Amino acid sequence: MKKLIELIKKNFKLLIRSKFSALIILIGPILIMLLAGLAFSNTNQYSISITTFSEDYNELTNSYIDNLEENSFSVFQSDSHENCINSVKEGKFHVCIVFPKNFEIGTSNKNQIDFYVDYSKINIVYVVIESVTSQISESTSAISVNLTTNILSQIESTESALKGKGELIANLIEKNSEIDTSLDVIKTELNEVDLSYDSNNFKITSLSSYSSQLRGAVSDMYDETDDFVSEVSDTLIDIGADVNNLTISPSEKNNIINQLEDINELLTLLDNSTSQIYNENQNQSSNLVTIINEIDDSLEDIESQLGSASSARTGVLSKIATAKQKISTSRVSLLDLQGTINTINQGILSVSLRDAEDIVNPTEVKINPVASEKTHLNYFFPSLLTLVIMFVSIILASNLVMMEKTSTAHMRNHITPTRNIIFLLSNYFTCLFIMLFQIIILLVISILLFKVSIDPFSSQFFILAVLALIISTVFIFFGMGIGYLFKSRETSTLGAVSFSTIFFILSDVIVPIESIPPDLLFLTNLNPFMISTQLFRQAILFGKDLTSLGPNIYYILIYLVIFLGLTLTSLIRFRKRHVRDKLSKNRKFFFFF
Amino acid sequence: MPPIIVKLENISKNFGKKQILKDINLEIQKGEIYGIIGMSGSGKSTLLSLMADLLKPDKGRISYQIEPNQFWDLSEHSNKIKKLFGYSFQSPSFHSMLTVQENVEHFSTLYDLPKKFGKKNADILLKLVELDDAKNVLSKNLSGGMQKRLCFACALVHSPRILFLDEPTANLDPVLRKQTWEILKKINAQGTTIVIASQLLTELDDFCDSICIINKGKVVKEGPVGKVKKEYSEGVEIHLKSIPGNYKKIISDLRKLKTKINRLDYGEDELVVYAKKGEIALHKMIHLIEKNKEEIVYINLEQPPLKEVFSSLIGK
Repeated sequence: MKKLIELIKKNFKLLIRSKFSALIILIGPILIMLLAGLAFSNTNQYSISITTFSEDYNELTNSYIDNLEENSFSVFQSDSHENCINSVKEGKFHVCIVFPKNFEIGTSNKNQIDFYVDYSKINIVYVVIESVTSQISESTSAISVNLTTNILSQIESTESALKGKGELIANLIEKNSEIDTSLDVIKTELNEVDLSYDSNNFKITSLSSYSSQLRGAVSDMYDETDDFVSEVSDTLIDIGADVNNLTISPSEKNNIINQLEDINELLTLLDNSTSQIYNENQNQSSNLVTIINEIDDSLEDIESQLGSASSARTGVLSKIATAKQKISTSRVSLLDLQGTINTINQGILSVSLRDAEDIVNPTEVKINPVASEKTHLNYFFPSLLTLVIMFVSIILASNLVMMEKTSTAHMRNHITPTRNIIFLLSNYFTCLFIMLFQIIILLVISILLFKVSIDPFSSQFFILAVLALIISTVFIFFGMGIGYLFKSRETSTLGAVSFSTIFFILSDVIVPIESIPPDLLFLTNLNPFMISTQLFRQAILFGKDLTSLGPNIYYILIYLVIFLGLTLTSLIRFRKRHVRDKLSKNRKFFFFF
Repeated sequence: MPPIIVKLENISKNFGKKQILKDINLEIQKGEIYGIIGMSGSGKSTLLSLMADLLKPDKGRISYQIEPNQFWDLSEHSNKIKKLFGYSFQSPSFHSMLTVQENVEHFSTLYDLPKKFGKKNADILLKLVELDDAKNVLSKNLSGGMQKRLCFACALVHSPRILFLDEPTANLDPVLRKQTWEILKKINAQGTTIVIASQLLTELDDFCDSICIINKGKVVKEGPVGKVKKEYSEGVEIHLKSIPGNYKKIISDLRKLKTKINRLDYGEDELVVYAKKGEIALHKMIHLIEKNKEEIVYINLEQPPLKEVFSSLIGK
C-alpha cells in the first residue's frame, strides 16, 4: 500500500512538474465544459438559411416563401439557378429551393419543387431537410386541404345526384321488367291470336247458295203464296158464290160474306204483304248477295289482311324477341349501372371521413420527449461526458505508461522488490484520480453554470459516480494496454487517438448508427463508447438505477475484465522483452509497432 | 577465505538464435570487488542482468547466500533476494523530474524502508556520494558525474550487500573517474561486495580483487587478479622515472642492444617498458641510465597490466 501511494505521488509530481500537463489537466475540462455549455445550453432551433430561385415568382410561390419566413427561416432570393446551388456549395446557405415555372395547382404542369442540400454536412443536413420539408409540407397541406374540400363537395353533390338517379334507375328497371312482362303478354296474346283463315269456315259459298236458295224459296214461296192467294181468292169467290146458295140466314150469310170479305181482305193483305215481302226479299236478297259478295270480298280482304297480319305478327314477334333481347340487355346494363351506382354510393358512404383537414392530415403526430424538455446540452451531456472520459482516459493512461516505460528510472523499477501489479495499479489510480478530478470540474460547471439536470444530492448522482468510475476504469485499462503494446511514445499516442476516434465514429454522435450497414451494426453495439453513452443517458436523462440499466452494465463490466487482462498480458510481455531489448545489440521488433 | 555470496552454476542465455552466454560458472566472495571484463558484446551486461534478475537464464542456476551456508535460488526468491543487491546502470536510472532527495526517498519506499528511516538514510547516502549540497536540485539538471553518483545513491538506499555496477566510469573524465572509484572504495570498505562490468581494464586492474574474463559468452579465465596475471602474462613492466628524462635515447640504446621489448610507452613523466625477460631488460636499462648520466627518481618492476592478460587470453 505504501509503495502504491508512493508511486501515485511520484506520478503526480512528474505530471505537475510539467507545467503544460498540469495546465491541461486543470484547464482542459473547464475549457471543454465552458465551450460546450455556451454553445449548447439553449433550446434554440437550428438557424437555417435558405436561398430560393424561380423563373417567375407567382402567388403560390410567394405563399411558400412567406410560410418559411413566418417560421423563422432566413430566406433570400437568388438571381439564377446556378448561383442558388453554388451558394449551398460555398456554405453561404443550408439549402437551395428551386420552384418550377408556372407553379400552379390544377394545371397539367409537373409541380416539382427541387431542394439542393449539402450532404457532406452530415450532422445538420438531415435536420435541415426535415425542417424545410416540414414547412413546405405544411404549405402543401394547406393547398391539399383546399383541394380536398373541393373534392368532398363534389362527392357530396355526386352522392345526392346518384341518390336521385338510383331511384330513377330502379324505376327504369321496374319499367323494364314491366315492359318485358308486357312483351311476354303481347307475345303470348299475339301467339294466341288466331290469324288462321279458312274461307270455307265462312261458308260464303253456302251462304250464297243459301241466299240463292232463300231467294228461290222466297220466290217459290211468293209464287206459291200468290197461287195460294189466288186459289184462296178463287175459293172465296166460289164460297161467296156458294154462300148465296146456302140455307142460312142472311145475317149469317152476311156474316159469312163479311168474313169472306174479311178473309179476302186478309188475303189481299197477305198478297200485298207477300208481294211486299217478296219484293223486300228480292231486294234484300240482292242486298244479301251484294253483301255476301261484299263479305266475300271483305273476307278476301280479311284473308289478305290476316295474311298480312300473320306476317306482321311474325315480324312483331320477331321484333318483340329483339326488343326483349334489348330490354334484357338494357336490363343487364341497368342492373349493372344500378350495381355501379350502388357501389359508388356504398363507396361514397363508406367514406366516413368528410373533413378535408382530417383527410389531408389523418393522423396527428405529437412528439413527446421521453424525458422532460431540456437544453441541447442536457441531451448532449451523456455523449460529452463519455467523450471526455474516453479520450482523456485512453490518451492519459497510454502516455503515463509510456512515461514510465521511457523513464530513465524504468530499469531501476525492475530491480526493486515491487510487483508488476503495483506499478500497474499506481498508473491506474493516477489516471483515475485525474479523471475523477476532471469529471468533478465538468459536473460542477455543468450543474452550477449551465443548469444541467443532475441533482448532486440524489441517488442519481451516486449512480452517475459509480458509472463514471467503471467507465473511466475501462478506458484507463484500455489506454494502459495500448501504452504497453506500443513501443514508442509517438505510436502509442497515435494508437490511442486512432482507437478513440474509431470508437467515436462508430457511435451515434456524428451520424445515426441506423445508417451503418446491418453487417457492421453489431460493431456499434459492441462499441464501449456507445455502451457507456447509453448507460449515462439512462442514468442522467431517464433517472434509472443500477439494477434497471439493462445488459449494458454487464457488457461494460466484461470490457473492464477484458481490458484489464489485455493490460496485464501486455505488461508481462513488455517486462520480459524490455530488458532484453535494452541489452540486445541486434534489436528485433517483436511487435509491429 | 571469505564466504561465497553469489554463485552462478552453468548459466546459459540466448537472445533468439544468438547465444550470449554459455555454461558460466562463477563464485563471488563476500566483500570483494569483482570485475567482469570482456569486449563489447561479450555478455558482461547480460551476465549482470541475470544476476540482478532482470533476465531469466535459459539454463543454470543463480543463488545468493542469505544465511551462512544457506543459498537461495534467485528464480524462487526473487523479491527477497532483490533486497540484497543494488544496481547501478550504465545509463542514468532515476526519475529526471524528481529532485535528488526525492529520488532517494522514492526508491527507499520501493524497498519497503520506513519513511523516517528513508529520510535519514537519504541524508547519509547523499553525504557519502557527495550530493548533499544538491539534494533539492532536479535530477535532470545534474552534471554527468553527479548523475552517476545519484545512481550509486539510488542503488544503495537499502544498504545492499552487493552492488552491481555496469560501466560505472564510462563517459567520465579522469577526475570524475577517480572520484567515482574513491566512493566505490568507501562503499566497499563498509563491507559491500562490488561487482563491476567494465571495459576499462586499467581501472579494474587497479581496484578489483578478482576478475572474470568473458569472451564470446564463455568465461575464459576467472580468479584473483594477481593469480590471473601471473598465470597468463609473461615478463614484467618496468616503470622508470629519471632526470632529465631523455627516454628516447634510452629506448634507442635499448634497441641497439637488441633487447627484446614487447611494448614500451613513455611520456614526460615516465618510461614504461614491458619485456618478457624483465630482469635482463632491467639490467640493461640501469646500465644505460648510468651511461647517459640520468638520475633515477624511481624504478619499479610490476606485473603486466590486465590488458596484457586480456590481450593474450583473447588473442589465444
